[in-house]
Amino acid sequence: MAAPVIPYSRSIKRKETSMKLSSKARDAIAGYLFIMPNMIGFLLFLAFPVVASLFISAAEWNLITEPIFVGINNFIALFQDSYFWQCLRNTAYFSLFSVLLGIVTSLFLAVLLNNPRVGFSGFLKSAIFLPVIFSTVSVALIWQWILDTHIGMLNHLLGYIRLGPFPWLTDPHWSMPSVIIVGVWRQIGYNMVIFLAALQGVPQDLYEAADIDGARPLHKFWNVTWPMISPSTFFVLVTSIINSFQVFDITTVLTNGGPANSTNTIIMMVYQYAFQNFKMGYASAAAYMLFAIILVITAFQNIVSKRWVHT
Amino acid sequence: MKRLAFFVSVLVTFGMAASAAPVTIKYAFWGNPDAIGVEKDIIDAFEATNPDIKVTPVAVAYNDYHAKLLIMIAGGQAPDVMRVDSYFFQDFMKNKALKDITGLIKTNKFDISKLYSVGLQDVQSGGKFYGLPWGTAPLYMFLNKKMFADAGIPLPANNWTYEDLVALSKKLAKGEGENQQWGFGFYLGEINGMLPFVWGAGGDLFDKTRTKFTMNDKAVTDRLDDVLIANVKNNAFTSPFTFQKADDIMRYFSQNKVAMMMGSAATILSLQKIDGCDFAVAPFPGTAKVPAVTVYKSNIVGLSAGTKQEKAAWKFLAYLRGPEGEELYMKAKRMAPTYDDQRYWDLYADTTKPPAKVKEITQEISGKYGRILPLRAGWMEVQTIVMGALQKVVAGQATSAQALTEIAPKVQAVIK
Repeated sequence: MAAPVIPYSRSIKRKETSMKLSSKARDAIAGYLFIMPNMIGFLLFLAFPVVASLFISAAEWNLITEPIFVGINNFIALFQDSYFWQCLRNTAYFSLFSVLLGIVTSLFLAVLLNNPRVGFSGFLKSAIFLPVIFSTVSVALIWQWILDTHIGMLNHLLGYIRLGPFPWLTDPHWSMPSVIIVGVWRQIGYNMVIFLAALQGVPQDLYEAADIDGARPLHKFWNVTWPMISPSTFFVLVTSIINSFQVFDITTVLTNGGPANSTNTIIMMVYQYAFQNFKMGYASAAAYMLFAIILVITAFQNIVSKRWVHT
Repeated sequence: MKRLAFFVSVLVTFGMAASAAPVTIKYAFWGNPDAIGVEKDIIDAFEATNPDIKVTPVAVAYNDYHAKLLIMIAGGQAPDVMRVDSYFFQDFMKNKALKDITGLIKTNKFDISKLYSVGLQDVQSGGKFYGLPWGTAPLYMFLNKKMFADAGIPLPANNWTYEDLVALSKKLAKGEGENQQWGFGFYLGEINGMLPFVWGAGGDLFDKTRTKFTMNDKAVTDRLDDVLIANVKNNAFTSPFTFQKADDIMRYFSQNKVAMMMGSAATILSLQKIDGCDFAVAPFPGTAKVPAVTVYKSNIVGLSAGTKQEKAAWKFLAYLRGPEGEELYMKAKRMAPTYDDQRYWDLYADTTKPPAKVKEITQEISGKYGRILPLRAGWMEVQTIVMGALQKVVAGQATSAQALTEIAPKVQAVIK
């Protein structure tokens, strides 16, 4: 069978085109094509809204009418809004204690379960990790029942040792600690897995050297384990702080921000202003304030990390 | 020539097909999966009698509904027919999102004479109709007949007062721990639950023009302190922190631990499902001077101001809120009757179960004891601010006067 005859001029053209693109360029094009679907999603659903909300934060806009440019008025109003400061205080309260408790507890559990002498470690790891994969809403609903003042399981159990009943979710002083406990319970499984991976990566010869030097377990932890897992601790710290500042689902379902706004957080405030009061400009300004706070904290952590994170 | 003839015949065929194609309209509403089924049934029934109109349902869960509706309107995708909660009605009005249908009602002779009059007030602005009411019902006072009977106390008359409520609550409250009972189930949910107390004290949320916040008047704050602190403290009323939701109160009411509570028409249906739960409904206690303190609320179904299918959209709206649509809603028990007609109550509630004479009482409330909310643009924001302040009062962080005076400038800024 004879090969198809390509006209001379077309074959020359093809050759020229293929010669124009180097193999590096072709690879680059292929690379861009591969990341394009994700890039389109990123630009459309993340980058564009982020930039757009910056413009919206300088406007008064209720979704229907034309936005009115108000400059920095939304930010000024925000600084004068006692509700904003209350939500910020609540968020900081939640963040501080949930991050601290979350890291300490998960590190303790990771060290414990990393010990080969601890039995059922596989089962325990799975049990501790389970809350991470549960839906937050269902978790919060279950905790709502557990923490119920009158018919809750926790108060019922405490009743056996003549304690309580405690108004876990119904008293402004108890509500935030209760929310923190639920938040920590939900988060520790994820942190624990990261710590476990880090612990298993610590070279054994360092412990052997410490043993030869006569180091006790606590000394080994502070002088070997802690420095060696510090990059993971730093990662857990940064992500936990960012997540804690964005707390929304647990507080919404568990307490809906109450009682007396004691568990209202910044993201809840943003949601209320944007989607209940339709004040998109004000809500965007609050969202940018939160962004600025998280940015400053993360930058500070990065600077300070050079002093304690082992590289 | 042959080609030209062919193209002409194709164009004619497509043209004829296009003219025969049904008009499509979009109808937006809120609801859970059950409610969506009811709407679909109504749409199917409408389309069966109107084959030239196709209705596309746009169903959204209530919490996100109004925000999504506004986004659709802003994006030029406004539904032709939409349901709006009366809380948002004035916001939609302010932004010219709803069509004035006064002319359509008159031209098409849509009979509004049998709709509850209070419901009609909620769909008007400046004397013009911007929709038709959907589910007009009061917030009843529910009375636990067993608890009254056990205490040997007769049920109060419809013209009872706030003082009667307090006195009865004190008599009915007793016990401790697991055996504790309360007279009145009080919770801080929406501002609706507070307004009967405010109205009963001769005050209101705003002045008559709805441009000035007046809830910080002394008579009102004194009454609120009494309600929020004194009666909660002495356990005559439940604590709104202990019982944060209407469902919590209803559970205790059905277990004969709360003697009186506020509830909607949907509460009647919920309680009817509980075996042995015997109850009556009544208006909220007022005063001799101000008997009308029972909140009466409706929702609105209207046409989008920008609808291009006005005729089809009106036809669907008239069906949806006319007797046919109402009957289908009643059969599905989706919402309380909007029409003052016993037939609908018979379909909506089980008349063989308590409460007795619900239709008559509803009619009496509508005519004598009912009062619509002083709704205005920014209602939801005002509610957030006011309820936040009242929670501070319950928490003992401020008196009603302090908390409400503190928020007055903020509310004023919202309603400016």
